Amino acid sequence: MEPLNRVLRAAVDAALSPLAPLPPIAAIAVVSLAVAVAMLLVVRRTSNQPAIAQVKRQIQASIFEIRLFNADIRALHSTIDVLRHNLTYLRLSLAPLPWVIVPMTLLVAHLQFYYGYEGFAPGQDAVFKVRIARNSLPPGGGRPRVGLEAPPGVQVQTPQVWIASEREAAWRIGFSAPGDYELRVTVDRQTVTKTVRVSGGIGRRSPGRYRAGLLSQVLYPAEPPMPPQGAVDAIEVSYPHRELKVLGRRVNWSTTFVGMALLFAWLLRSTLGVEL
Amino acid sequence: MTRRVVLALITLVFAAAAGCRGAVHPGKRVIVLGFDGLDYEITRALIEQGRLPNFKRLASTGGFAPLATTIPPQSPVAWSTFMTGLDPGRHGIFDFIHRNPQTMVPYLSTTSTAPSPRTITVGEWQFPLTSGSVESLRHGQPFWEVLEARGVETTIIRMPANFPPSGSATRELSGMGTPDLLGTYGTFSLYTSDPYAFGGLPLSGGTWYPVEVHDNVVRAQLHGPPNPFRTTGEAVTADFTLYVDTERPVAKLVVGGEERVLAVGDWTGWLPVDFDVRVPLQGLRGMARFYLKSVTPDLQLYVSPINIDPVTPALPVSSPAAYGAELAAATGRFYTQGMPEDTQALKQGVLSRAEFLAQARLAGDEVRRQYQHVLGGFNGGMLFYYFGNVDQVSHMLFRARDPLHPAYDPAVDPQYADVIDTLYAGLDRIVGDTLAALGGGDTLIVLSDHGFAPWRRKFHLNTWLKEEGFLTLANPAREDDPGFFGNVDWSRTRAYGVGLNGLYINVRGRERTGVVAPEERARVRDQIAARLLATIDPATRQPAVTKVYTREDVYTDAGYFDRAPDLVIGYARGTRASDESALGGIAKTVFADNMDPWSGDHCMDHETVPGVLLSSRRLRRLAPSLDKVAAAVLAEFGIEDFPARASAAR
Amino acid sequence: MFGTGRIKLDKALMERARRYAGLAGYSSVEEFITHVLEKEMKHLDDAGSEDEIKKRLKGLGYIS
Repeated sequence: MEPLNRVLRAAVDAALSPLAPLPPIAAIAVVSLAVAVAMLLVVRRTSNQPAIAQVKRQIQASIFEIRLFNADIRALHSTIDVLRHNLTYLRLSLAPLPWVIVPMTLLVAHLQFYYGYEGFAPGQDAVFKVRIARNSLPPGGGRPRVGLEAPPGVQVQTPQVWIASEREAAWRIGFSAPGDYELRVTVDRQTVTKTVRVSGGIGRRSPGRYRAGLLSQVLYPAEPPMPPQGAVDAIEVSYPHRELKVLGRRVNWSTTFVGMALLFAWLLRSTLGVEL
Repeated sequence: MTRRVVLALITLVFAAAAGCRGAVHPGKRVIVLGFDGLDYEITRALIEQGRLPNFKRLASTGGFAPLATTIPPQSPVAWSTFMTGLDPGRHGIFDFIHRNPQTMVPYLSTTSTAPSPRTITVGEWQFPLTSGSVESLRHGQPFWEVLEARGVETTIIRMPANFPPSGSATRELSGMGTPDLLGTYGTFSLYTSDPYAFGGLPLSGGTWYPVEVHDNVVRAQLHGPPNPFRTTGEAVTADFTLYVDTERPVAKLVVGGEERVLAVGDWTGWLPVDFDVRVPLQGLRGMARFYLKSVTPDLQLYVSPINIDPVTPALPVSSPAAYGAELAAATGRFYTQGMPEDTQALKQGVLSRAEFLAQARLAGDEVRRQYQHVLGGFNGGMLFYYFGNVDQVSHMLFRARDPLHPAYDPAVDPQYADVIDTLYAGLDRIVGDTLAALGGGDTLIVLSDHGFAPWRRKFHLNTWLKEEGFLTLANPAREDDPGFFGNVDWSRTRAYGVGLNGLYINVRGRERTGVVAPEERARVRDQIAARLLATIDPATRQPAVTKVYTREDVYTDAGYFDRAPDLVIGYARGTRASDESALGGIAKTVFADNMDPWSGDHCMDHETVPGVLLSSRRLRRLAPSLDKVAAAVLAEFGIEDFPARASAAR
Repeated sequence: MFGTGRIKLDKALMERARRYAGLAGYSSVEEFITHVLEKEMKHLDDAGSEDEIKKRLKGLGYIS
């Protein structure tokens, strides 16, 4: 999985870096436009377009019948026809799903780490958490030896909090200068690192680095996984969630993305000759 | 609301009549900085010492003079007079505290709240059909309404006694008088693992909650206001968890979706707090700051009063409603509570003096950061911005500069002797930043509502009235006074004190329990006034009271006399009405040394605590007293008719 | 006294109530007493919110 993620990270970075100077809402508009076009092309290629056109006509005809014979028994038949044609329409519409579901899941997972989090700014602080693997805990439930080293530009502001019930060591870290940093966590004699990005712009931000595993790599592809046999299960840093302001309302980026992609797809369907 | 519309219409008519329709002096910018409690003598001394270079610049270019304050010299009264140009008889705010003559219960004078008048009730559940309301009890037309009517944009930030915001300025943020989410002036919480804390007694202005630490984890609840959907009056709550590390004094706090790591002595920023109202899709949001006081031997976690969140305000704190969120987006969430410095926590011993100063600094820094943002975006018109930090800190730290204070501690106090002067220097930097942003035709006006004086001696007014035979106890043998006139025999009481300067005659037909015939009121009042002026403090051998005013003598209009005290007492510099007396308590003695941390005050003879007025240029209109400043501001825009006669119309 | 409930009143008080009811223009002494009771209970309702008012006052640093 990680080789695929590495390729995807490079591809997404290359595709999105020209959009970095744009405001997030504009960048998401561009991405959703591209996704809408791609989806329309996939739908045109993988669905039975004549059948979709036909079933839509049949639905319209049945609705017309209902209006025409609304006091007649035929209206009941037409209503049943509408339901039947709708089910057919649903089946035909879902045909492209197997082709798009995997790439879309991967794409959205990657985009989440671009648009889902705000960057840290100098002067801010964050919680840095390390979850220790169960088999790396000292026998008898004592406190493991966990160290944290921060490069210049990042300060470890508090002593470590050890939370035995969560197997978690936590610190507060502060930022004094913008940049991309790598913090080193040492458990016993093993060392793992975690990236932290201090910048205001749009860019890939990884709120968690996890032990290697299929699910964690699908859900958290933004950073390479940690060794499966290592002493650390997870390292997390609390990037604030980004909210976009759309028409005066605060919304998640993904809602905006899906809404815009649907809108673009609807607007471009005739230009691209796609029956939806 | 209707009243405001009518006032705005009247203003428009006046403007039209004067042929002044449209903008006056377009492009003109006037900035008014309100520094609460800035004392004339301290300011003068610091200017002479060279510690206020920007104040000195103002003094040389525009002028520096004492500013006569209101009778009584209390902030809500004074700022109401400043903004309306009216005396209390016409704006209706006579004291921090008024009393209901029907119930004899004191209440905060500036606002009243009412729950939704229409609700559907199902068992123990109720569903409001309309929202509850908050009403400002301050009357009169604020000066910015006149400017807005003439096309001048106004921005009014933290004007005291302007909650809820008037809605008539282009941008407004409410200030002193804005409650916390509980509806109080600020109720802090302390969570402690010491079950015997504070001798098990309740605190004033805050609540302490005993908590248990299990396996280094504390699970507790923040307490909000009564659930608006329940008829039972139970408070809404929000869970939080604290993971404590006793080996290293540090803890991790989890509130809602937020996590923070705190070492002992650390404060969090504002954390949103979502209270569970137990109704789907409904919620109540506030925000709080947390401070980890200690981890061992006892855990102590201080939680600020739950403030109204400016991002999703439960009550209106800004106008337009989104302006508070806009300010929060620019410089971060901020205290919306009117007087954010937690003086109560220091008085109750929950915060030490150093901790209080740290908290006051946090509050002051928010205001300063926000000012820089507002100043940066100020393009024209009139900007008023209020700073209350000096006032609140002066109350708590005044004795550090007063070796004659009975509570002065020569071992500790000298290290705090310079705190107030340092805050003045901070205000000087604000003046400097403002001057740098001004253009040639712009005007900066700096004013304070009153000065400051040491508060060394407490005067228990109701005890004095008892000793003088004007007030009678229901049970003279009772040892513990319950306060709130709980031990007063009204049928044999001719006068009583409420608030910080007010004295009322118990008049038949006005007070529900009144015994003094209306035609006797003046005689009793004058008798009391004469005896007050003759009262000598046995410890200082000085008069306790230097001025006593009848309301008829000092207020030009009887418009709101239904709530006005019969006498306003000007205590001698150094003496003030006791806390107990202000709320209807009767102490054992008339006088007492003031041993509270609250050691400076201004609720005295108004002539002894003048404010200050400075300006960057000679003002077109003189303003020797607070009620004339708004007229002087308007005169800078070429408007001369303020306060308009119509503004006093009822 | 009033249909659903009985209240004992001092005879002299009842006489005074009857007299004042007439003077004040009430149609009956029942109406007068009902009005007086409601007025009094309104005061007590107001007093019921006293605790809330006192709690609000406690946050004011000047006085507590």
